[in-house]
Formats: sequence, C-alpha cells, structure tokens
Amino acid sequence: MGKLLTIIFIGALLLSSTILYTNTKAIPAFARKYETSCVTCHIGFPKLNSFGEAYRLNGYQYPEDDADQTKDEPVSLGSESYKRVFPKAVWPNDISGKPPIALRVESGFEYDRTEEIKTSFIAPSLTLFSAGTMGENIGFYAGAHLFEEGEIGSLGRAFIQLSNFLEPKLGKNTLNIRLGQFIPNIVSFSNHRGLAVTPYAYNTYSATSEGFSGGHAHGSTSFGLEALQVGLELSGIIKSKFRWGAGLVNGAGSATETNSAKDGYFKADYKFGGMGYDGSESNPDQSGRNWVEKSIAIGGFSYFGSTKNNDLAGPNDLKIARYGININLYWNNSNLFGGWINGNDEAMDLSVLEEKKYDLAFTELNQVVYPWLIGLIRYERAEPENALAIERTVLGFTALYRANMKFVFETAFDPSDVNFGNMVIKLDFAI
Amino acid sequence: MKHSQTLFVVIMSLLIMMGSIAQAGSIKGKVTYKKKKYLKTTVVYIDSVAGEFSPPKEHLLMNQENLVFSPKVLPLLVGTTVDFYNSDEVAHNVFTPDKSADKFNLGTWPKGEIRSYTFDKKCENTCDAVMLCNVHPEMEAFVVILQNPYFATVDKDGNFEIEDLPEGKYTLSVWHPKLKSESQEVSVVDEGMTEVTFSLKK
Repeated sequence: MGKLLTIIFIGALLLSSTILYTNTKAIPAFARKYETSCVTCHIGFPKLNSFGEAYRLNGYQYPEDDADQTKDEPVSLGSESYKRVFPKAVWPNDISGKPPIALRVESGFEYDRTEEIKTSFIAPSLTLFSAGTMGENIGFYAGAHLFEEGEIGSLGRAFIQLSNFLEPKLGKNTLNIRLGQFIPNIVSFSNHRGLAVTPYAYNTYSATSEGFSGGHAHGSTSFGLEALQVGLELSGIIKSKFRWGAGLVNGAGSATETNSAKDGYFKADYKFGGMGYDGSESNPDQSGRNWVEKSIAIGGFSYFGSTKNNDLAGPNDLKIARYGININLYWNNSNLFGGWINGNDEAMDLSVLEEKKYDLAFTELNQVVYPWLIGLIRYERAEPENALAIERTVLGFTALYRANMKFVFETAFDPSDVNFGNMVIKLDFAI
Repeated sequence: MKHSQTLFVVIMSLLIMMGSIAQAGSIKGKVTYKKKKYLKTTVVYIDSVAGEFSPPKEHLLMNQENLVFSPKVLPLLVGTTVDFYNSDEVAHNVFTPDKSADKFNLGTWPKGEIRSYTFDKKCENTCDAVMLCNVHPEMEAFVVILQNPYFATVDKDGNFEIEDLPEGKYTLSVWHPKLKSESQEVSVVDEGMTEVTFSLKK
C-alpha cells in the first residue's frame, strides 16, 4: 500500500506540472536545548505531531517538567528562592545557555508552462529565527525573513507568550496570553505547520481576490486568516481535550493600524481520543510511531473586523467577517483533515458598496508511507456569490533526507483544466 | 591503694567505652532520581534522636567563590556557627528570607572578609534556610538545620552512610531543595549495618 501511494504521488507529479512558495517553520534551537531530534515534535517538519502541538500550545515548554527535560544548562537571572523575596526583589527567571537562534534556508527548482521563462532555479530564502523560553512560563518567538527569493525580507512573527497565567488560582493550561505580532490561533491549518508549499485557500482566499493565491501565506493583498496580526490573544485548555482562543488585533493583516476599530476573533476545538492538547495521554500508541494516534478533533471559529475604505465614496470602514468549522482525523498513518468557511466582506465596486460573499471547503490527506516519506493530496473549492466556482487540487510529497533537511515535490492545478502545467521541487533545511 | 583506684577507673572507662561502641550501628544506603545531577544536593538525616547534642565549637565554612556558594547545601546541628567567606574580587552579601534563620542579613563585604551567623533557632526535627546574595541574585545555597548530628550528604552517585548511631528505631528522612521529602522507618542494631534506598520524585 505504501509503495503504491509513493508511485501514485510521483506519477502525478510527472504527469502534471504554479510555483508556490511557503513559509514553514521548524526550530533547531529546540533540538539543541533538549538535545533531541526534530522528529520528536514533527512529522516531516514543520508539520507537528500531537506532542509537538502540545509543546507549542504550552508556550514552547514540555507539557510536563520542562526544566527536567532541558539538557542545555540555563543561565540564571535570579535563583528560584528569590520568589520568596518578592516583592522586595525582581521575580527570578533564566535564559537559554546556548543562543536560541536558528537559520533556515529554502531554495529549489520550478517549472511553469504558463510563464515565458518556464524553468528556473529558485533564489534562496534565508530566515533567522529565535524561540524558546525565558524561565518558567514565558515563551518567545521572533522570526525575520532576511532574504526572500533573493530580495530583502521582513519581520515575521514576533511575540511573547505568558503561559499558565495565574496558575496557582486557575490551574495549569487554563489561561495563556500572547502579545506581539502573531498568526491568530483561529488558524487550524497553517502553512507554518503543514507539509504543502501551496498556501491553504481556506486561509488566503477572499471573494474580492481573483482566484486562488499562491506565494507567501502572509502575502495576500486581501484579508486572510493566516496574515500576521498585531495584538493580544488569550487562549487555554480545559480538561485536556477542549481548547479555546480569543483575540483582539489591529486587523486586516496590517502591522500598522489602518482604522480605530479593532478586529476580534474566537475559536474552540474539542478532541476525541489521542493525546490531549496539554500533552496528557490516556492510551498511548504502543508502536513507538509518535505520529500515530486515533483521534478526531472538531472545532469552529468566527472572525469579525473591518478595514479602512480607501474609496472616496462609502463608509469609513469596510466590514470583514469569517466563520467556519474544521475537522482533523488521525487514524494510524493517515491524517485526514478539512474545513468549511463562509466569508462576507464589504467592498467598493465603482463607488458602490457591495457585499462579497463566498463559501469554501477543502480536504487534505497526509499519508505517512515511511517516517521519511509523507504524501499529500488536497482538494479545495470556493463558491463566490455571483461568480463561478473555482477548484484546486494539490499533489505532493515530502521526503526527509535527514531530520532537518527535506525535499518537497509538489504540483497544484485546476482539476477541470487538463492543461495544467506547474511543478516545484523545493530543498529546505534548518540548522 | 591509689594505684588500684586508678586502675579501677581505667578499666571501668574502657568497659563503658567498649559498651558504647558495641551499642552503635550504622545506616548505609543509596538515593536515586532520574536525573543524577540533582543528587549532590541531597541530605539524609535522622528525624529525631533522644537527648541534647552540643554543637561543634569549630565553625563551618560557606565560601563565596566564582559567584557561587560552596557548598550548595550545608547540613548542620542546631547551634552551629557558619562563617561566610568572600573569596571573590567583587563584594558579596548574605541574607535569608526564612524565619528559621531569623531572616538575617549580614550586610555586604569585600574579598577576604568573613561574617558569621549561628543557626540556633530550634524547629521541630528539621528546617532549612536559603542563603542568598542580593548583589548576585543567581547565587543560592541552603543550610539544613538538624536536631541531631546523625546526617550525611550523598555523593555524586547518591550513596551515603551515617555511622555511630545508637541502637534503636528511627525515622530516616531525605531533604532536597527541589524534590519531595521521603521518610522511612529504620532499625539500627548493635554493630549492624542497615541498608536503605530512597527513590525521589519531583
């Protein structure tokens, strides 16, 4: 079965041919801190397994006893006993002994029959990122795209997470606070934690845009769920299996506020079976394959906001609204997930205020053939109001050459158009 | 007559000494924890032994060298005096926020100087006090104040031995600055060696 799937994926690539570029993350700084392999948390980086997800949600700390798991001796900024001296002294913490810095290099080769230059090697992108903890329950992440396809890049995510806030009163995992520039927690299917190069239309599509976007997951000019947002987010886990998140952000994916109103969002998920969001596991898989579990998670979200109207006519602000549901099923070596989203954006069309509505659904299967070889197939369909439906299929596979180095082979095409013709082969490594 | 009296006293003293030696035993054991590096700050001690014990006249030393207290853990009999010696080129301070040592603050002093404190506050069986330096907040050490002189600090492998314990039944306990305390009932027999193991948890 595994070999057959491999042949299918390779065959599909050979038969088909949009260079699509993503921005994925895996953090070797964590590997150095714990002296553990990338595969402890990832199923073909940057996709996370359940443990990796629990680690992320807990503010880049091991769900249980992070200090015990840390091999890198931290530098104390105050002994733990100084907690007893507070408020007559600063509350103690520590920082990483080794600089928590990592580099990521992405390059590759693309073929696109619709372009004048049909084949090209992709100019390398270089990302510098730093992540970790500053003592107990303070996590941080800072990423800068130094060069993106040969051009000077920009600041990515940069935030602080205060985990287990008010833990003595509220209990562990109940309340986390994130502050800074981040991707809202409403995103269930992030390109930063997915296998595919092609961005999820679920996150990037808008009825005001033309077709499905490729390129950077943050780069869409219209509003997208996965756009970087500046603001404040609260989140937490209740009884291991229920998680929630709510945020208040500048909105519209802009780092600089464009209007006085703030955007707000809320998300909730419940997981049946498998490892809890807090890392607890009632019935762990005995096979030693840390990507395997039998679970299903169901969730929903809503996002409401506004963006500045740049047209001289109409209101000052144009409304943006999204709500949707998501399902994520793990069954042995398979991970089947998908979602439905409804969007309703106000837009000015020839100085007339219009509502641009759409429905979009997608599903994706990730199949672990070997621990180093993972295939994916995705189908996306958007139905904008008053316009024709559009579809996209993505086929590809990830081959881990080493735990921190991979090749991605991928194609994306309109299944109703037999003249599809694009392909990308991407080399990606992080140190 | 005088010689025979002297001889009698000597013989009786020898008999008493032999008797007291014969009535002593020891406890030997091992403390384990999943992370071996934690073990070196473990103290094993007898909770309570009948009688009054005089503290040593000699002072114990806690050094401040290379911005670290040494030793990190210092068990002692209540009433013992500790000299805090500054070996560094920078000034150090020693204070504690703990009532078990009257929340003392010895002030700040330069290299080569000593300031002392007598840990004479009695508490039930045992208590501890953290030693901090307000010039260098990362510095930390612990003084464990005990009711009796029957205690030991474990070696890097977790081994310990408490010798010359009077025959009897005792509660043997483990103290650690970060791990949970453990206790066991032990019987010490005449000239015997009682073996004990502790498995610590966080």
